[in-house]
Amino acid sequence: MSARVGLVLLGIAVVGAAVPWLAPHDPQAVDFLGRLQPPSATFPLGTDHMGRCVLSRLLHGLHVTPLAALVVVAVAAAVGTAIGLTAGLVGGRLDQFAMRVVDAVLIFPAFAVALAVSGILGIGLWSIVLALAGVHWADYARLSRNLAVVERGQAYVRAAEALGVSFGGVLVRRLLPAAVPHLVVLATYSLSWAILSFAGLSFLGLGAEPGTAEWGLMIAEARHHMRAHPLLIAAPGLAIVTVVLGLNLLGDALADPATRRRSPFSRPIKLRAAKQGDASCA
Amino acid sequence: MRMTRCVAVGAAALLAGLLMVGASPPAVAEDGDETLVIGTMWESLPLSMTARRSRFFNESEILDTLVKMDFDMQLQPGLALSWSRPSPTQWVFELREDVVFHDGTPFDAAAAKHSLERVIDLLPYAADLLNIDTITAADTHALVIETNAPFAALPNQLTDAITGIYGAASFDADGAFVQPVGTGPWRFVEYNPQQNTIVERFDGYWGDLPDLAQIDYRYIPDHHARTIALEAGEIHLAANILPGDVERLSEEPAFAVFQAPSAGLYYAAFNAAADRPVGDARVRRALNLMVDRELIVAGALDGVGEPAWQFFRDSHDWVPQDLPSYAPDLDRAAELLAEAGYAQVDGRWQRDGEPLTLEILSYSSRTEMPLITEAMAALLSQQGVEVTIGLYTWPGMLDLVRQGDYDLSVVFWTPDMIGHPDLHLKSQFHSAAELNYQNWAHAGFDAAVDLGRTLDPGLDRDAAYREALTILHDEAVVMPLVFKVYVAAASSAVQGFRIHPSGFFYNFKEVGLGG
Amino acid sequence: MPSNRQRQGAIAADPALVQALTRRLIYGAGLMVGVSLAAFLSLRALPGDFAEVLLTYQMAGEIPSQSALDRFRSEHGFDAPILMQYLRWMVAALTGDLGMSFRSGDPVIEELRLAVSATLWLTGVSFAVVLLGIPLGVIAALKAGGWWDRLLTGLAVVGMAIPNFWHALLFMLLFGLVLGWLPSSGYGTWAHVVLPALVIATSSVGVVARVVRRALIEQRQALYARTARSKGVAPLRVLTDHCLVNTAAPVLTVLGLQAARIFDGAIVVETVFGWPGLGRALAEAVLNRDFPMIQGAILVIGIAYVVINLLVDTAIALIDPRARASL
Repeated sequence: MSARVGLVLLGIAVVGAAVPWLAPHDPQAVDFLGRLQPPSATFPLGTDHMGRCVLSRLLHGLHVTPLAALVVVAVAAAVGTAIGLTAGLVGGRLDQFAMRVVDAVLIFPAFAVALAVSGILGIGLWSIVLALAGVHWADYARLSRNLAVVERGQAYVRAAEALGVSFGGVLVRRLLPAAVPHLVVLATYSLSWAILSFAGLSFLGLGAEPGTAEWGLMIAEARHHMRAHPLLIAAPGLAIVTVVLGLNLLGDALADPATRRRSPFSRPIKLRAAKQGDASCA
Repeated sequence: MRMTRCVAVGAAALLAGLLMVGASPPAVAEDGDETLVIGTMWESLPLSMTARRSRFFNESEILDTLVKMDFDMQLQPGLALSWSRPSPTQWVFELREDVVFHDGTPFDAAAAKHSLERVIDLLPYAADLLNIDTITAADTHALVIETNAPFAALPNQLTDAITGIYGAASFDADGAFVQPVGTGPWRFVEYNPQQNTIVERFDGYWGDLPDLAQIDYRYIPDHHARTIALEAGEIHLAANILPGDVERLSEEPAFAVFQAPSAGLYYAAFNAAADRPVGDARVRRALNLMVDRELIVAGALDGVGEPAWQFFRDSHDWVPQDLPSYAPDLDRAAELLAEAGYAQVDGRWQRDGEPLTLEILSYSSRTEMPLITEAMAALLSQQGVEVTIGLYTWPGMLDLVRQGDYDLSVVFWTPDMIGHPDLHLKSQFHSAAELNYQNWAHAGFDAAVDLGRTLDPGLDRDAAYREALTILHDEAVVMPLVFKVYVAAASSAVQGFRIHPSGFFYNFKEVGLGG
Repeated sequence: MPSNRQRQGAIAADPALVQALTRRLIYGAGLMVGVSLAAFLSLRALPGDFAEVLLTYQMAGEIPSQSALDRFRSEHGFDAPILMQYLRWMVAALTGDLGMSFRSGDPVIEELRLAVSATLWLTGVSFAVVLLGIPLGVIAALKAGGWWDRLLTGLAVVGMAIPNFWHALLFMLLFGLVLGWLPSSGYGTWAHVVLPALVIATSSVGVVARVVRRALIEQRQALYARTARSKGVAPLRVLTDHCLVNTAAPVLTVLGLQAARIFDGAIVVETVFGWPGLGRALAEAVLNRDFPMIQGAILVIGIAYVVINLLVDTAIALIDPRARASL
């Protein structure tokens, strides 16, 4: 049930993203004479302090934070999984060393580390993406390593090794498919984490470039008029809550073994959901 | 189903919260005693006397300056009753008698000399601003100052906050600053880092005694938080409220909003280095002609500000009156860009296939700054100029500006702070100025400024500054944007508050708490 | 299951415990070195030469000449081998010399001192609120499926999805302005700490409650608990003697993770509420390009979390013998 809620919420996100022409206006079109308008037929959510269409900015916002978050997750997942699976499969010293490094990364406050890294690299969207991915890969490394250790003992993997399938072949053709469902669950959570982090950094003025239709930034700018125009901070805030809530509920549903057993479409749903999740941010 | 309902409950609670926010009754401000609580944008930092920090000593009147500036920006006697310049490099100040410092020691020429010498010693830029060669206590209440070159602006310069008169007890045995001991109506009591500074009435003050017993300067850097604190009754007076709140608060009987034009100017400073697109004066002029300042005032500041088309307000005799205007003229702007080798392709300006791209820097520590910067950038972008914006804090932006990696930096200064053009022209635009990060140098401008500072008020001086300002305007070294209208809001109990046009003076000695 | 008394007797003698703790200590020491290296190298990784950045700052923005730069380099040891520079920096740092803040010109250590105490206060209160997740989780587990369980789960799910900066604004308006119960922002009294602490704790308290709930439900369904109950041991005894102890390791682990999340939250929340803590100091230092301050913050945060991690691991090892081998 909660999976369905998640899917509905995500569906909204997908619709918003797949059809940016849904946005009634150019999100950057400034009109100083038509600023702070109340909702109307032309501007369903009104206009902001520069006369820009709030709804259009919200919809286009789907292309900023979630997309950046997706890049963060993709990079972190790719790097982390490669390291984790390799460590788990090779075992021994390498495994121990890799896991100690992973432990070390995980004990620090990720957002703070990302902030410090971007402080050194210079403020900007890409340094934030790099910094967030730079702290987040460890989650994937730990998960996939543990999965690899479990799967390594399974008959099919040993059989493949006995048949002389190369190391890389085992990794890619055997271990990876087994790990994917678990990685997808983690990815839904980490997407919501990355979205919140990114929006938070933008709110602080450390993320997206000023003027971008980014939700956190929109809230920061709307603070100037929040008392007379509460919709201006309510709308982007609710947009973030909706997407993050959807992702979390989806993750819960995917992770809960009870749901999986009861649901008639346990595995397929994950894969479909994952693809939709991708599309929502493409 | 279960989860759906749970989420619905949570969401409903949230929405209810939001709705309540929409309709907010003002909380009552009530204190009862005679302590005025003011919320300030900057931390007062009374235990340090560097740069901006010591401005607090003047604005709070812990210290007095020798010369003061009245509400019409005219010079008035402070600790000095009168002054004269018997020779080009010599100034004589007659000092006020019967003045004591907060620790009871008397104020006299020796004390003034000691204070000014400490300031010049401790603040590296003070020497540059004051041009003082020697200070002599000619008799108990006559101070003679020799300047190292003819310097007519000295009395104006002595209104600057950094020249406040410190009692000897302000410094330790090694001459290092400890805490402010002055002659003003308010005596420093305590400072809690990141929280507040408290001053109390000094009963030995030489002028009329204030009504209030204490003032609590509370540091609330965020404009929204400061306004909310006022509305919640936590403070009596909020300095620098957001333009967006002006109309709303004006309509509420529990609050009074104060507005007055101030000497502050928001402007974009061009990086005139040869390798930047705005190294070309024609491009700078064109950009000036593209930005409608009226729209910036309306769009970024909710109408709270005055459009600025030139560097100084024309309320002074030394401001040229007949300059060609930079009022929006898109045709002329296009001509100028064409002359500079640019052509419009698909509505975007480019030269040699390279789009005209401007890197704009500003800072967000002044809350209205990003709004002004974005509005300016949006107007430029509408005219086919590519823009990128980087927002930092003041020190962060300055670091990048010093490295020369920018085209425009949008800043706020108070050019009119001392009622004399020398301070700003000499320290910001003169080619020898330490603060000149615009890579602009002009011999004619330098000569006019160097001449102006030697001349007493009069036609010759005004002519020199008119020439300097004409060059500044023609060369379009800056893009003036908005003259600040200073805004503060107070609970209706606050009486007698007036905004000083310098923006750096509260005059709380005339304020009372009624009701 | 061994009884508690037996278990305590085993602690003193258990070589596995001693070994595990020793390993942890060595690892912790290694991490400290790693943190200090990261902090040291962070400034060396700046675009441009750090000596030049520093000298340019000291000259108030004037571009230093090459000869001035060379002199500065040799005076301040920038021409020494990098390892030597690191050791020298380390010795200075250990004596409390972290350089001067570019923004204020004051020693970084002074700026950090106030920031750290303010943050400890705020995060300490937040953490206490997060601990409320334990009893909440226990209640939810005992009444699994009831309305209380549902409400808790719902709030946990929503709480995790609210961006903290938005949440902070809403709380500030609601409790500070509309209701007027608490100061809307600022620092100094216990009343000031309530709103920011609640906002920070919101996202974590639900996580803790859920972990406690899930772990307890699993334990209660475990064989030994059912056996004990069937033997007639009172259900509450089963809960306190066995189930709670066995859930300690996962709960401690999640609490350790939340300690990190709380600081993450503090960065944004301190900024919104004007709380002069380390989180805001770090965010401002980044905007100020105040590199010595960033470095100092990295060092302090890093070391704090190595210590926290060490404490959590030690607690787990003491409570749960099974976890010792993996430490």
